[in-house]
Amino acid sequence: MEQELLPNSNRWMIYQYIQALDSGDLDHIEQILQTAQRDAELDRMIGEVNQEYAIELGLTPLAQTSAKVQELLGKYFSQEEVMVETQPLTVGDVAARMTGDQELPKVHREIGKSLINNPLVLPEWLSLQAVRQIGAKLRLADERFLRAFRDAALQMMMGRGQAQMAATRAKRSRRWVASPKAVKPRKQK
Amino acid sequence: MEACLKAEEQIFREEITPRERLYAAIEEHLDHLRSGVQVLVARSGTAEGNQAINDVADEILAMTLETAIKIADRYDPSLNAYSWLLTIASNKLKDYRKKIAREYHHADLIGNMPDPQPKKQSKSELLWNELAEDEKLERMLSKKTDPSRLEDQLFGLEELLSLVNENDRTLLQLAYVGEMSGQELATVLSITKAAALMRLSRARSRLYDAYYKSEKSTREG
Repeated sequence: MEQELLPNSNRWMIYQYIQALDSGDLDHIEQILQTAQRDAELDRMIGEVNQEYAIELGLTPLAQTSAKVQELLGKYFSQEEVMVETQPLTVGDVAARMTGDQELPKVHREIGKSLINNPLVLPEWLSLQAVRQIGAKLRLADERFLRAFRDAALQMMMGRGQAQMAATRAKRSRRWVASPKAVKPRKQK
Repeated sequence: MEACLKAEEQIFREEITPRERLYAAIEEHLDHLRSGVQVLVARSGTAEGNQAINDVADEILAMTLETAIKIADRYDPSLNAYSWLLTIASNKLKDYRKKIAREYHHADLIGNMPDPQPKKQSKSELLWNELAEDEKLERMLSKKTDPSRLEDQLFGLEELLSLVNENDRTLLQLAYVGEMSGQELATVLSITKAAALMRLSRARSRLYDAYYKSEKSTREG
């Protein structure tokens, strides 16, 4: 506890970040963000704090992105699905695995049981945000369950022939072409 | 199997350039970045109301991505991409505010945009903010009690916490009497660690405010 409260500890930095947000102090926010660039834990917590603020402020996700953002995303970040040979992972698949995982709390296994027949297909890029959106669709608000769900899903994805990694490669090759500077192919060794 | 995965991931890491890594990071963090930018826009008072906040946030997000793509070859992959991108967004937001102010030649015309810069703090306030949190509490307590007597301290703490409402009191008791960490608080309250720290931060701020008000009124009789 004492360690957590020392100046420049992560918790202290998070308090500073919250205070800076509360007072709208962009300079102070920037200072803390710069520290977080080299501190993974602080970076993660800042993301969580921002999520909490978004909920508290009742901010709805940006449903429609501007033409400019769409253009950038279309050009550099292809949104199309990457086909993988394995069957897509569904909520039910992950739930079934969670049901049998004795290391999980009983309450999580029970929730898993109730989702076993759910055919909802999971996205290949399973960010925490995406899992939360799925949770919202399924009326699941338990953050710890959603995190455990994501962990289980990611493990399964890796186990399924590293489908996510293959998708990354495919996306990467598309980006290679889309790069604004003509990126030269690497020399063959 | 695990060794194979690690080896493949290692090869995968070595193959990709900073630009590619940044692109992958942008894709990974895009949703989070969007809401982070929305929060910055809302908290800086640049826009009010969901629609206006979304419009400005979208503009800032586009400028952020544009800059990130432009300087992607210089991106240091050891940096955490989310904070790196949000730092750019914060800068873009400052530029945006300046631009709007310039366009209208008069700050009043920006609408109800409050000054994003905090009031100048006095030297004592700055020193106070530099203190560790437990030290702040100790200082407040020592003014009210004899620090050498535990009973006295507990009584002082009770008196101090009576200045805030029940929710804040419970939270502060868990944190300072129960000595719970942020994670433990999150578990007890069934919320995320970030939410627990946010609530605790606000509870503490309200306690400090209430304490100073009570001290001031005592001094003024």
